[in-house]
Amino acid sequence: VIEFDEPHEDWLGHLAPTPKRVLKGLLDGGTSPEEAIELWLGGSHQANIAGMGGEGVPKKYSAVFMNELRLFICTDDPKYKDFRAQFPKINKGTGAAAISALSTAFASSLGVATVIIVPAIVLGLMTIAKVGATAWCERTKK
Amino acid sequence: MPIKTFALGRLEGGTVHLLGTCFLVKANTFATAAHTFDANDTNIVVVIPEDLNDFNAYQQQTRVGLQLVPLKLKDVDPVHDLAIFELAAGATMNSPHIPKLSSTDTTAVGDKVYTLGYPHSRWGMAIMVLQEATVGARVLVTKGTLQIRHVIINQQSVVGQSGAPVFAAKDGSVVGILVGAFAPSGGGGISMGGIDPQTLHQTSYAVSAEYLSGMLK
Repeated sequence: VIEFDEPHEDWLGHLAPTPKRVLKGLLDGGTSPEEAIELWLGGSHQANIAGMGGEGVPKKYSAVFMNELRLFICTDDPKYKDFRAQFPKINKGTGAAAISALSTAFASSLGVATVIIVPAIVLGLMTIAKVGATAWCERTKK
Repeated sequence: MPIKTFALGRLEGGTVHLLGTCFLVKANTFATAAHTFDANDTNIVVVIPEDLNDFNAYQQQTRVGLQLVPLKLKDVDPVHDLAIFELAAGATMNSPHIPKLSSTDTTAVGDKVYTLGYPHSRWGMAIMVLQEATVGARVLVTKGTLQIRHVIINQQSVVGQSGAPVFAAKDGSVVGILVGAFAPSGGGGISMGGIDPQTLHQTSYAVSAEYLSGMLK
């Protein structure tokens, strides 16, 4: 399990202006980081509005994203072995580098644009930092 | 004179799959609805109209050799369903006509509006079509704890029109961006000939252009 030894609320500072503004609005209003991930990765398809664009039925990225995050944080799956070696702890000092490295890996793995995956990773790390990695891993165990 | 919009597509294996509509917001920048590219920004292109500055030119029903220009995702806000793409560094559109962005706040129920989009583009139709409509309601769409300003316009929308600007007839400003049509749970349950029957009505949603302005600051 990756260690989070310094839970803090500064994660949004890693984001570009648009996601920072939108997600701050959601979180300040009381939306949980988990709900915000759902909205960020699937917000276009919610609120009883069917999109009139795209190539077919939109994909549901939030579930696969959370699975991927769990794979990295909670398991010793070889897929993220190098990342875990590089980031045994995620804290204020390593946060930016971890977000950058994970974004590249997740964007490639999920086929999602980096500018979309970065805010999801930040929200994911905020969720985990809030409860602690061990508790989060236990809670999300299948 | 109305301003031309563009078809947005994805180039795969030499074939362009049209995804929706986009429009110029700067000489090198296009806006669209975020869901059109389903979070995947690879090989996105804009289709340049045949007669960019002649609004009334006849458009070819069957176009051969589409003029495509690659785009790079610049910024995205999936919660408000908006995205911004840019041309390659240094490139700009020739003689761009760029609309003024306003807000759904400037509209009233009953106001005349029109959209300029690319209906049926999923089936390869790359023809810009103007549709007149009326603002049927101003609505707040809840996403999480956000209340997002939209208008419902009395227009039946089909796939390809998302991302189309909604112009106010009174001053030509863009009050909103078309993002879809009402469907319980966002639709996707049944498809008949590629059309979700739950969307066969005249309740189309446009998100306020003020959120797009916020992304361009």
